[in-house]
Formats: sequence, structure tokens, C-alpha cells
Amino acid sequence: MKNNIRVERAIKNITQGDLAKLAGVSRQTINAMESGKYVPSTVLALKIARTFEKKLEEIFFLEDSD
Amino acid sequence: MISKFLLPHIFKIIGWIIFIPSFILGILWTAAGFEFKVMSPVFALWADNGKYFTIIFQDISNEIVAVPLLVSLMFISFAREKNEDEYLTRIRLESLIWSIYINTLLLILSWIFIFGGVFLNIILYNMFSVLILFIVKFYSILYKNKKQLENEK
Repeated sequence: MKNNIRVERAIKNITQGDLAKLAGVSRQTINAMESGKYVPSTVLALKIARTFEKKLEEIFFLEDSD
Repeated sequence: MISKFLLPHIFKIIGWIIFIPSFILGILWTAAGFEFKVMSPVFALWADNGKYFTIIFQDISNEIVAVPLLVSLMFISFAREKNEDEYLTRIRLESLIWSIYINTLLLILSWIFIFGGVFLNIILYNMFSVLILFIVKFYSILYKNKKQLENEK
């Protein structure tokens, strides 16, 4: 799975720490997602999409390997 | 949610406070060849010479070392971090699997290459190794992540 979190963060001009607080997780979780090391739960993915005011599919993408 | 089973965060500090003297005592005690004795009457569920459910007079120096050591290791292992989120739960799980995996491998190698009375030492270390391995793995992952975060900012 890929995601656009880093890009969306830049667009909204917020830090990893800010996003972490908004989504209710730790900064290392946000970092792990951006580095592609962690696939979030549905709830967390939805929370992040809501923070960016975008649809889920605009932030998270299935890859062929999934 | 795993956090149901975790202890409050303060237990991590309590754990270390109990661990350090217990560990030092344990090292001294093994180095002294299990020599010093502390005699006391104790309630034995099961003991040598066919004793069950009875009070016996026994050297409890190993209990004095082992019980606080195990309890403190448990506290350190299962105290919740300040921020227990889903990623941390994942790291916990992976560390647990890793520690049991490695511990079992070490045990197999011990069985194959270590013999006689000294094998008792292996049995002794094995009592503590699962939790120690878990603590080492879990906190090393957290440390690596923290370093990466510092590089990001």
C-alpha cells in the first residue's frame, strides 16, 4: 500500500507531530506510515483522510503486490 | 485491545528500581557458587523427599533473588508506554514473537551442545531470557524509530 500523507501534509503545511496529535497517535506512527513501514488500521486511515478533508482513496492506494 | 493487559506506565520505573539490585544480587550469588544461605521456614506446595503442602525449613536465598528479578522484568516488559497506539501494539507483538523464537533456538542449541550438571545453568538463564530478549528487542526498535524521527525533523 502506498500513501500520500507526506504530500498532503506539505499542502496543509503541518508537521508530523501536528498530524499525530490530530489523528490521536504518536509521531513515530505517522513517520512509519510515511516511510511505508506500517499500514494503518481502517479507523486510523479514515481519521487521517478526514484531517486532510479528502476521501480515503485519495490518500491511500493499493499496490499490485497487495 | 492489547492495552487492556498492560500495566500503568509507572510500573516501568518501579521495575527498573527492583531489577537493578536483584540483578546485581543474582550475579554475585551465581559468582559465589550459590554459597550464601538464608534459612527460613516456608510453605512448600512440592518439595524433595515426598513433601507436599507442608511447612519446611529451607534456604530461600534463590527465592530472594529470583522472585524480584522476575517480577521486575514483568513490570518493565508490560508497562504501557505513554503513547500506546496501534503501531506500538504491532511493535510489541513482533518483539514478543522474536524473543520467543530466539529463545527457543538458543534452547535447542543448548540441548545439543551442553551436557551434565552445568545444564542447570541453562535452565536457570532460560527462566529469565524470554523477558530479557523481549525488553532488548522492543526498546531497540523504539530507539531506532526515535533516531529516525530526529533525522526527519
